Amino acid sequence: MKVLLVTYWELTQMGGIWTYVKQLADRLMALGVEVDIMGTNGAKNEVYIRNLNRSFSKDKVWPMLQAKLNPTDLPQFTSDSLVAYYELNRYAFEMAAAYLGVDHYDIIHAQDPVAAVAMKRILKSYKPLVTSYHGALARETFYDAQTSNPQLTLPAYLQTKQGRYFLSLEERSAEQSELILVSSYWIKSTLTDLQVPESKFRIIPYAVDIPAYRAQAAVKFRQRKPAGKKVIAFTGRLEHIKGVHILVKALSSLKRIRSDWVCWIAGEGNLTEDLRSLANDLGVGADIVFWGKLDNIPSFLRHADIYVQPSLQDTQPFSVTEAQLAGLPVIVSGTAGMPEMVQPEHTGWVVPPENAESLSALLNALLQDDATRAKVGAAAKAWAEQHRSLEEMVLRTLHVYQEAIQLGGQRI
Amino acid sequence: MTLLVPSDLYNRWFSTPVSTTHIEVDYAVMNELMRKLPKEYVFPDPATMHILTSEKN
Repeated sequence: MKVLLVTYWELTQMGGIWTYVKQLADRLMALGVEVDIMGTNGAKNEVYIRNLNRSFSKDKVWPMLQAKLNPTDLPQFTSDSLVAYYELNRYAFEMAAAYLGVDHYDIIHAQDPVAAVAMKRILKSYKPLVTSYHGALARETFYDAQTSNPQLTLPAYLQTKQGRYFLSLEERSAEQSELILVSSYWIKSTLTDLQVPESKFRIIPYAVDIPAYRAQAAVKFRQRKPAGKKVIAFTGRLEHIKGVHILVKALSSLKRIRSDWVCWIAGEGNLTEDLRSLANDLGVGADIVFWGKLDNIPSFLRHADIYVQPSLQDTQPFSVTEAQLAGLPVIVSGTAGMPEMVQPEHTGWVVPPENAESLSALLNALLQDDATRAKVGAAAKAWAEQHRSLEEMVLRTLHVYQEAIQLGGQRI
Repeated sequence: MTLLVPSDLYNRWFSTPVSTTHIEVDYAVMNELMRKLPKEYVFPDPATMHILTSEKN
């Protein structure tokens, strides 16, 4: 079997999704499956097949696309600059992917709706398509739009041309896929809301390579935690959707009650400086350490006492699973796929989303209860070790490919 | 050696052909794309244009 794992996005900047793609590819290859990985390299403005070292520079077609699809001759096409930008980039991606070749695979596994739509547009003959929905594209663009227009609501956004455009990519890709892979019931619900039939879905949670995790965790982290302090940790991209600003606000309230803690944040993103400023403005600048991007999260987490995932929207963050494997009690926002990851008060806690006061109150309670933290952390670790095995994820995914090929055979 | 040709040679991919004689493209690359892309392949994507030209908003 020859499989193409393809994403429209930048492969190595996808955070947990890159981990997913890489682990899936490695394990499939170990089972004798031929796997190519295609994605974008933003720095070089090229689309590439990572394992084959083949690439196509978008510069070869970009000037032509931009000149021919210009605002004077196609005012409606360019009326929404974000949509036009996405479209132009997708067309360049399509040409690059076609040049590199996509027709010789037995199955194409798209990692996002943009790549799925692109693949179906360029295939010359029928090929079965499986699409993974790692996030909800239209909702994510809504959160981006909301940063410049705080009054905007999701229903209102989804009525705009931009909202309908992103929804249409989700709809089209779901319609064109034989089967759809999701990691959580929440992400499935965003698609069933779009009338995607139940029969297309296969739910396979994200997994972690547990032996590799343990090996990384065994490495000593470069700094000890300050004496007498407990560490509240977050790991992930520092972007609005991750809600780290909510955590910073909660810590500001917490500081008025107690100071036996520090917060360690590992990750980088476009909000790094804004978050530093917010922390300083709220008087917790000295209590939060921004570590930047770290290569070894399991080792970092060994020093943590509580893990917080304050995201505004998140499907099934790897960071939470990693924290659970570290034996940490986790607190997640009660939105999107996150509540599915914890059993409240048994393996973690769920707080109302975007509610800094609730988060602060829970942190205060947990910081003074060592026994509960230890008990919940141990239960979380046992649960993650039992339910997040990579072997099972890969075998189930391979089965989905076989099913999709069979479904495709019936269609021809 | 790269052989450059006028991009207007490839206007068949565009539903609204616009003359861009000042833009040149790599002949070998474009021929390979001509061979590899489906015959009905077109810019802009008609499904997107349907949304952008519809009455709502």
